[in-house]
Amino acid sequence: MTTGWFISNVGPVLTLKKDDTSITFDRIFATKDGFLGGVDMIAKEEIANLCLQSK
Amino acid sequence: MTTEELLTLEKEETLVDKGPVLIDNVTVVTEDTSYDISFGEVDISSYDIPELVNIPDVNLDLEATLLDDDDLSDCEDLPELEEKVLDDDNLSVDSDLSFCASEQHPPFPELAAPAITSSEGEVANHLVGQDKYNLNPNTFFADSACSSHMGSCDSGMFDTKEEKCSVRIGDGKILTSTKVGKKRVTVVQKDDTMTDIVLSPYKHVPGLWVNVFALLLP
Repeated sequence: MTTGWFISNVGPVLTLKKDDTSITFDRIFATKDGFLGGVDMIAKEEIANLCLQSK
Repeated sequence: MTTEELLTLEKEETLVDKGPVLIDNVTVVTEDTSYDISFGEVDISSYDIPELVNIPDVNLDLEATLLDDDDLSDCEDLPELEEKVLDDDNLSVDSDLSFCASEQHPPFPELAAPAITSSEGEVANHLVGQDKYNLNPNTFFADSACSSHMGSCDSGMFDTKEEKCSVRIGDGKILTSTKVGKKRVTVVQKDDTMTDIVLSPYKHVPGLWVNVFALLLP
């Protein structure tokens, strides 16, 4: 928040926005008392490895 | 009359019905049966003998008697298995984050998955989200109470420096980070849109069972 990100939500789904970049925590895990919001973030190094393997 | 004839006569007299007999002041009445027992030769052809049941030839081939898993059509009388569905309302994540080892497809090979226990005592090994999404090593949870992005995987890190820092997790245990730096990741949304971002600062904390994304960085 202190670096210019804005937070919003649609129901349980949280969204962080800054300029044209947005991160949506669209993987919802229900718990007894509420829920957890998650998102998939693949390390850049792993993507490079996957590309090498596919070739 | 000889003595032998007298003895046989006495025995015959004892066999004569003498009427009701008193035993312990209870009257016992004996009744003669209507069956006529004779030991003479009987013509067997006059009896109705049931016909033998025709038993089909039994193939004693052992291979044929083996149970074939694919041919279970004869087991229609077995009761159907009931599929139990875990109700999300009855699920709770253990407060102490007790770990339950998962044998099949563990989300973290080197770690254990958190145990989800329902009120009925049933345990699910995987943390499963909506649309049957399984927790995986690339999942980052939004966390408003952590001081830094952190995770147990150091791939994609750059500008790192070794810095041992204590990290207290939910069950009170203290883990130690090995290095701090930045991590280049690609955010993959549910609709498959991708965005490249850099997480900074990112702490590599071996033993952390899930990655956390700090919503409120200091």
